[in-house]
Amino acid sequence: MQTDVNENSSTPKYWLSLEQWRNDEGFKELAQREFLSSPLAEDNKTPAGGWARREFLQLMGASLALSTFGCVRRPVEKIVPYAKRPKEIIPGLPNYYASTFVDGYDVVGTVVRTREGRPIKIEGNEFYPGSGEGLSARGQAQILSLYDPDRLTGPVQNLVNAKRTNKDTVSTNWVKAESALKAALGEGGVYVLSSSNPSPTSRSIIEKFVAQGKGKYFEFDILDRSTFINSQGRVTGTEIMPSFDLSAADVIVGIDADYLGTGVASTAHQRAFALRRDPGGSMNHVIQFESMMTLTGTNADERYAIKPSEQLAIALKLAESICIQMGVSFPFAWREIYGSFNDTIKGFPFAKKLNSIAEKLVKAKGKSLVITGAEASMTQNQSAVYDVVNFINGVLGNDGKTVKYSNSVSSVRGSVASLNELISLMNQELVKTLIIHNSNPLYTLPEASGFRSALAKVKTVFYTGDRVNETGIGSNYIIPDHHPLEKWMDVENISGVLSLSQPTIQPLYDTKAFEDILLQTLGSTQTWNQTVKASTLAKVGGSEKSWVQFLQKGVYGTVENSPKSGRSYNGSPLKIRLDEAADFELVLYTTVGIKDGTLANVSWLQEFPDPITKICWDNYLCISPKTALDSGLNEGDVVALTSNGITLDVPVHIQPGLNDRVLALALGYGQKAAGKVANDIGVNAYQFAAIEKDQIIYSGMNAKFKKTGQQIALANVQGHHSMEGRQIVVEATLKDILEDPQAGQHKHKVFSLWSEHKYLGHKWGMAVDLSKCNGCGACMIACQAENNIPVVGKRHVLNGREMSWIRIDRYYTGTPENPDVVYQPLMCMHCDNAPCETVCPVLATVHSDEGTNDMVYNRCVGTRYCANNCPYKVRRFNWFNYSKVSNPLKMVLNPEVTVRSRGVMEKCTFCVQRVKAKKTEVKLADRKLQDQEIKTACQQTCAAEALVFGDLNDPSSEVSKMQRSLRSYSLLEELAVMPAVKYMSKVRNVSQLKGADNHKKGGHH
Amino acid sequence: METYRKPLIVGNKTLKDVTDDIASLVETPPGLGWLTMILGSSSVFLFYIIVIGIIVGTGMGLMGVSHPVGWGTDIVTFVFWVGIGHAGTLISAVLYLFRQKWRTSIARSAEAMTVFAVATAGIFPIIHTGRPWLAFWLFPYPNQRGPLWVNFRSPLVWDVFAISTYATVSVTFWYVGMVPDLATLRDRAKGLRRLIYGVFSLGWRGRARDWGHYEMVYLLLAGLSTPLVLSVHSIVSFDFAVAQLPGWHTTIFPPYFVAGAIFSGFAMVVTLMTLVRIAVPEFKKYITIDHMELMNKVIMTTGMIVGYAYGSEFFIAWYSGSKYEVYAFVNRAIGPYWWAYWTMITCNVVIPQIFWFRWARRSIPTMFVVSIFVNIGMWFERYVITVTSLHRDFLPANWGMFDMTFYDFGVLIGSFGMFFTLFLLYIRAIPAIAIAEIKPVLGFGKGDHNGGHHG
Repeated sequence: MQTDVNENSSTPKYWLSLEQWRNDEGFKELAQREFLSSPLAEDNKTPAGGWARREFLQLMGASLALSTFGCVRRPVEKIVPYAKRPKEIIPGLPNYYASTFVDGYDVVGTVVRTREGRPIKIEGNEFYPGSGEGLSARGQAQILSLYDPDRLTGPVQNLVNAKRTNKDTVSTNWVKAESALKAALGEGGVYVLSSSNPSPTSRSIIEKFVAQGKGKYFEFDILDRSTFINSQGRVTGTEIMPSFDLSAADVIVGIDADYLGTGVASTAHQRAFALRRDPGGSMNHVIQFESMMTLTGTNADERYAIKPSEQLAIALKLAESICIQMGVSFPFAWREIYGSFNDTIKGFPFAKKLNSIAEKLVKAKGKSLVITGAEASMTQNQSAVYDVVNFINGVLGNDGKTVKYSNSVSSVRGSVASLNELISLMNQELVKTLIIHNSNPLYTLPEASGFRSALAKVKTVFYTGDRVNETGIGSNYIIPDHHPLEKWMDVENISGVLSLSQPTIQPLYDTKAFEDILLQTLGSTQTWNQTVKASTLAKVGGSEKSWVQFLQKGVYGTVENSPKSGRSYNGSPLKIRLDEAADFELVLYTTVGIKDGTLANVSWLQEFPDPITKICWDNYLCISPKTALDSGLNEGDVVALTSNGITLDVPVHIQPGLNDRVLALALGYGQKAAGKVANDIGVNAYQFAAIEKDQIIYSGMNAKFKKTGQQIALANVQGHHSMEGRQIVVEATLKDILEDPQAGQHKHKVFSLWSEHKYLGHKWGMAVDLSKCNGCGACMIACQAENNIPVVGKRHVLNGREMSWIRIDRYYTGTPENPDVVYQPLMCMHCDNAPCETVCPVLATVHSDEGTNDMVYNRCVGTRYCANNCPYKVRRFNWFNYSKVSNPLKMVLNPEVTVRSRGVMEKCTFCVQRVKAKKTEVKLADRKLQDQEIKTACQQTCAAEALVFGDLNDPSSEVSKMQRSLRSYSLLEELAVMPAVKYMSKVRNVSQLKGADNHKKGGHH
Repeated sequence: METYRKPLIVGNKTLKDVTDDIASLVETPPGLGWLTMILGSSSVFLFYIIVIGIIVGTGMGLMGVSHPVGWGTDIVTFVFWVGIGHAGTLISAVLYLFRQKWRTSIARSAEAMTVFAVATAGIFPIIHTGRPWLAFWLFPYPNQRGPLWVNFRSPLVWDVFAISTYATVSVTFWYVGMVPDLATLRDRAKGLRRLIYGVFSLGWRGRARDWGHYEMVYLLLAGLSTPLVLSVHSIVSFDFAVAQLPGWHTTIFPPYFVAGAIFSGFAMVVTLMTLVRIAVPEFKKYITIDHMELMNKVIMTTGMIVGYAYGSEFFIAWYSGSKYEVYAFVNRAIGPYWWAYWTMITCNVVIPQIFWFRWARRSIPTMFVVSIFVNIGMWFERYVITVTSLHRDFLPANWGMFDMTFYDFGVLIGSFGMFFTLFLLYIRAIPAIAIAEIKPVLGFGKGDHNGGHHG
């Protein structure tokens, strides 16, 4: 083509166009070029700023990339496989390590699940006596404290100014800190203060250390139980904290006791208690006198709202009445005091009932139990109340039977007397060095205790805490101890039962076991690990094999089950101080979630709604409905509360079932330096407490309040507290249930126009026994840990945006003055005719052939129609990108469960990952799946065993049996959604229900 | 000769007058009034875009929607705007089929209102989803994910079809109707304008063949649109009625929603037409007080239908014997959202009753105020249905409240910015009254001796 044109300017023979024939210049130039336009800019004679084709493509690509830049959702993350795989780790499979959760005086054997070397969940140890597989909400939540971003990453030193207030915190190293400790040891006057230390080996090392340092070791718990132990000594001669066998008690009377919620061994108590709440067996009868509504009180058959100053009168009246009926003489020393209560007793609205309660106790002598000991019982007369209660158990012959002294709770060791001794030693400037371990006295101890001023007289203070909290600020060196999950520890909680903590992960930070530091400073050649093994080995059998067995099982030793004969008892003189009746008596109580405040920086627990009030992210002053009415207060109004000369502004919560003269405030809040989560949440109620003689007073203080006019919105996860006469929780009396198991149920005729789903293999379902469920909420945290459920914060909880897959609804029945409480755990019902499935436009929620309702996160667009159409409202929406968690918190995520992104719906899956894992295991082993082999996270942790999961296609499975029970009913049965979860009615061992009976038995009209 | 009917167009307009009057609005530079309005509304529109951008970028959590109230302002406002659209189709299609000649003056703008209202409404279902960038998954299209199909049982999928069909048919109907007018503008214009109007007038020459085809297509499209008047809002009502939620699960919803839609749509037409009459005084000759009166009659009638529906809902709730249903309705009237319910009743049922009086029907200020109240009332109707049903359903533990945030108000107000921006641009670009349709109703050849200047 080029040849002809280029030769000369003569006319070509063959021409393609007129232009060629004319030898047009423009054509010649065009013909020279291979392409009409070059793909390269430099070839093109385009004007400046013009785009070449290739450039244009590049720009297109770039702008496409830019336009999608804003919604990058999947950054590339490289995973690195093990070059040399550790022997015990198979990627993708969990490892389990036996451990122990120590939470003050609730000690529970646990199993820690780890994945690829990081602990992700804590579960109860089935071999542990009492609690078994049950684990409390706090026990479940402990895992998150391991990954707390506010933990110290190494030792720090406080530069202290002349006034001994902290000037600056600088990091230091272990060499400096340890040499300071060594110098202090040489100087003498070395003292150690810790909370109750359940580890015999640790105690012996500390004792050795203080002996070398010419000091002393003090144990003190802010939630003190020493006055009870002292009372045991006075009445029975043995100073122990007995364990209570609730399963052996037919009648339980509590006087400000919270044995199910926050008391000693509450997890074990929950299990034993639930065994006796089965109407098919022999149901116990539970009576509770209490000044604050507790978990125990809400589970009682009879509950009486009292004020703290009335405890003694009630106890004495019961004692007198029992003595008369048993033919035992009422202690002479008590008569005068008892006489002074005459009018008080006559004034009780339940005065007439006291005799019959005593009668019930006597009738069940040897099989009854009177308990006290919650914070609300810690009045100025606590010792007297405890004496009377211990005496009653003695009279009734419960000692050795329901009150077990042979297996005492030996982990309760602290005493106020030790604290007082330490304070006086500090004031005498005999304490040169104080090591504070596992305790935060500068936060918990009220100013009036004088601890702070005494501490200023100590030359050097070491603190082993994991953060610069209140005590951290007040000490010279913070030498962070390992997290319990990073550390060896032998634990003796119940005397005769040994358990172990074993490290489940390499220490995350530059921390050191406290005992290791002591051993090193003492110049010992043994490490702490070796010491624990050496001292424990002998106790568990002595051989290496028995040691390994101990490690595997996590427990050694058993509890005594046979009844013992009772100890002798006496009614020693009561020391009491009676004040004039106060307008309002203040009760400081602990909640199931926050308790003493040690795990306050765990966001799961801050967002854990209190089982009774259902409020999270705050503490508040509980007042009775009548008090609210009289003083014109609404929920959330801030009042200035004054007691013991201290005034704090606190919002009020109107609590039904509270005595009109009682104000109640939860402990454990108002921390100033616990971390980003807990700081400045609520007020510090410990300030109202008083230390008087050798006891802490949490209850019965004279208090008054004044309206401030301010308001604080309290984050209540529940919108309404009455069932509005709907059939939600079916209640019945034991008598009615024995006559007709369907008592209280209103049955509907439900039918379907269509044929029902067919499930050829498994059909998963669940049964919830409302009689057993005590509402503690452990299942909520277990689910949160298992299923990577995010925390949303107070602001969003106020909007109802908490993400809980399982929640516990709490309803009041009866009158606000004296209500009954019912609890109802609610998770996805996995309906056969699921209303959510039909309305999802993109089929993101579908029915599986095993009866579960599956959520396909990838497919979800987020129309939220499913949530609107769910009658149980169990679906939760990711309003923001909650899954974006920072290190190290994201290490807690369970790799088996998808982390949900923004804009998708989520809900309970029946722990489908557990189902799948077990099915794979069973298939590989070529055997049949056994009933109860698969347990959902909620079921597993439930100490009361109220939740049962299983295969409904297997008629012999536990869940099938429970669902077949006539006590079972479907929630909102009339909607014909056919839920796979069924509830069993709540049975109360009473003659008459408080809630109006709206549903008479019978068919549909 | 006695006139039995009043003339539809007053002012003795000749054919040329009609063309000049209507076309001049498009052909003259905008006045200060229009400029002020477009500046205001486009600023609000811009604000709307920014608000949507922030919501999409951060998350739905910025809005007031919560647990249990999963649908809030977005859905309320979506239904509100879809409802507004209905009057346009009713006026242009149904009234056309019934040979209601008075429709001609307002049909064009009513249709424009429909198109813009549907466009405004269409934004909401997208932005209310958790992941709007995946909202296209609601369309059943062949894909490489299995392929994954949509759930044809879900009313939201029906919605996708209903709304997209409605939008398509409305735009087509509107456009076909304006072809002769675009040709008129083309013939009067020069240069670029001539080219643009030329392209859009599709080669219209005004021949008998053109008119013949045009009339046939217009009639067919009117026939096609008519069922949509009933179907679209019926299907939108299914979003609620198909759910099993007390307060939503109601068979009365389809007719009730359609009546409500026409009610609110006519109110919006009245609002817009009073404004147009103020902005372009010459249009008073075309959109006469008689037109307005007729629309006010429709408003009062549909308002009473809606009022009847409110009443019958209560009756059925009681008659059903379902305590959840009863509670849902009692809660509407005396629960925490009583103010929304009674705002709705006042605006939708009580206030339009003033149209029993002739003076009220013929008073521009009165009807303007009433139409605004009806618009407010109809927004609250959807608010009451959506929010009060959700906020207290079966299990009292779930009960909660819904509080609008800055972003809720942002999208609500912003959507008006979008609507008015589009409407203002429209009246400057397209003849706001159908020139070709006005001419046949001028009254020539009906023995009217006063028709035309020459008499």
